[in-house]
Amino acid sequence: MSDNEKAADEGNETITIRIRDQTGEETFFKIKKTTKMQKVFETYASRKGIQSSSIRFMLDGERILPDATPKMLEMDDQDQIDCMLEQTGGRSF
Amino acid sequence: MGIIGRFHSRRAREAMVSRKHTAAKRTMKTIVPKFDKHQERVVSATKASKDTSSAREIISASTKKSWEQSAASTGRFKFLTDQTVAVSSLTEANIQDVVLDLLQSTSSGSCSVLVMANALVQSMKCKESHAKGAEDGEFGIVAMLKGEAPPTDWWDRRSNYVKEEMRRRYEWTETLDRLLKMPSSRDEKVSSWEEAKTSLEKVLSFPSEDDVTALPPDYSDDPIAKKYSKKLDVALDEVSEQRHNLSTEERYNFRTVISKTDQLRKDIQSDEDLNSIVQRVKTDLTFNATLRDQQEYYEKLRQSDAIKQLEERRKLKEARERAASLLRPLTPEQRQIVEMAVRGPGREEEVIAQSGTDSVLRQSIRTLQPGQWLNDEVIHYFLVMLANRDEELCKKDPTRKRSHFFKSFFITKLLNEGDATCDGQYEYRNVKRWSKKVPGKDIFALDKIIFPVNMGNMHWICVVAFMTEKRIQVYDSMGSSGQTYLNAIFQYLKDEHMDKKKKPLPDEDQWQLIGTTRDTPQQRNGFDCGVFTCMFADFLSKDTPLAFTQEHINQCRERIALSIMSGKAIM
Repeated sequence: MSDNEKAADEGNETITIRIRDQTGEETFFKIKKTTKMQKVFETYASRKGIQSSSIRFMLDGERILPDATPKMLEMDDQDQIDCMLEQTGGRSF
Repeated sequence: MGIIGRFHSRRAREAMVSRKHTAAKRTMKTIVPKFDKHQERVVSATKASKDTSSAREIISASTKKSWEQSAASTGRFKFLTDQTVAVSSLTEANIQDVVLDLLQSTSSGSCSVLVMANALVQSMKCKESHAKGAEDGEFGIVAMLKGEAPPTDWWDRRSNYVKEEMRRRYEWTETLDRLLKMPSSRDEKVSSWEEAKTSLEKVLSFPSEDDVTALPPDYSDDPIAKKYSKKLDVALDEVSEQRHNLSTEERYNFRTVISKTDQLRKDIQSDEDLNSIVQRVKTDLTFNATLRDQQEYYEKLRQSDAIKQLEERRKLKEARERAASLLRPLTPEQRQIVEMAVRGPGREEEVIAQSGTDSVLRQSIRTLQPGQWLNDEVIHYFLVMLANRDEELCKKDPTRKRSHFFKSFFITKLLNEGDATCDGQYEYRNVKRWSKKVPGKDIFALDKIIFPVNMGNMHWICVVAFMTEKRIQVYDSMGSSGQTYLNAIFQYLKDEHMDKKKKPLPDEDQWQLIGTTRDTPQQRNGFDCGVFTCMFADFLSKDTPLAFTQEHINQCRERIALSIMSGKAIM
């Protein structure tokens, strides 16, 4: 196998990622390692019927850029993404 | 008596003399009849010769007959040395004297417990060396009189007394040292003996007068003893007086003391029996050395205190300057930037700022308008700016340790907030991987960890783990104790240590968990907690005292907006 073929093979490699929301519900996505996360996020938001501006996708405590891919994020099969809801506050009573 | 005189008022000396008399009478009743005969012989010999050296010979000859008999003659010299031990015995009265002397010497008539304990430690230390001097001096006299070592039992008895006394003084010094370290010592004031006693009783129990070994017999009626003791007292008083008159600086200048010692030694050579005075003067020099060491020690302490105070003042000044600079209006250009960001037109979903993986939408930055609740994006982005500033500060100062700023989702995940089945339950597993993104990938190498916390989508607070200081503290502009978060974060530290270092968190019991303190700036409305949270993180990550108030908050909103738009926190 040449290097080019190897690269192409890796690009086609698919992994399953989990998006876990705050209630504990998990949604699975089978995607290519080169797919932009934006696609996943949009699909997720529309499937859940929520505005994408009110949710944050987090990997190990850091936000995920929409342009990032699983490969860039060094994600492995079955890795978890946390979907957090926007938080706000001003007072305690 | 002269040497110790420094530590006693005249009243105390009088009290001591009367106590000595009572004890002496008691002891004399038992001892005197036994040795009356011998005593007579010695006295008559003295009268006949009127010469100390021949008297000594007679005594010496007499002592060679039997030790029991010589004990009485030793006794008269014992009077000279025993007096030292007896007077320096640690009794409540002695302690009282030191305290009262101290109180009298202060202009306000009161002093802190710290100062008192210092004075006591110093006086105890002096007495300690004095007891040592007495021991040596006595050995000299006994050996001189007998021309040989004293019998074991007598020596043991005497040295046990001295040892016991030394041990007790050691314990006292130790206890007083403990008192010095008590946090209340710095502030608590004492202005009378009763108050001082109450403070002292917290750490030590007073020995009763009965505890102190019965005082040795008083031979002051004995003409020989009288003569020597008088000479001795005069000589010692001179030494003492000299030291008494020295200023603090001069006191540590040995030259005067040493020249005086030489003069004393000349006197002594003409009167060999007073050889023991050499010991005393030696002890006196040891005193000065001890005092000088003490002085140097406290001077160092004072200097380091002064440095600390200076540092605190510098920090406070810096904090005030920072607070003042917060109040300073923005330049027209800056105001333009802020206005456009916070109130300008544009799509809600427009990404208005981007740094690393973090971004702020226009709808989020609009929450910086006065009166609006801040959302997570604004707070997190501002904390990213603070993290960048921290990195820069660490580059400038290699001794500075990095800090880390977690997202508020850390606590949300750690406590399973919003979970359908286990809402509020602590779960380390959820954040196990979060420390991967920490500078150095090791939270235990950090100086501080800042946790912004969102409470029920209603309120923002800031919790800081001071890793170096081993303290976790809540900063809530509404004043809550935040116990849940303190416990959760402390548990996280323990679990993280176990997970990453494979052993329990060391010095676990040294950690302090502190709720919001009274001096934490408080909000006076129902919408500014997010801004306060940002400011807590801003000031604390720069080790600056929280010198801002509600008045500064609207300017703070503008500054947060400016930091976000310009991509860096204001230094």
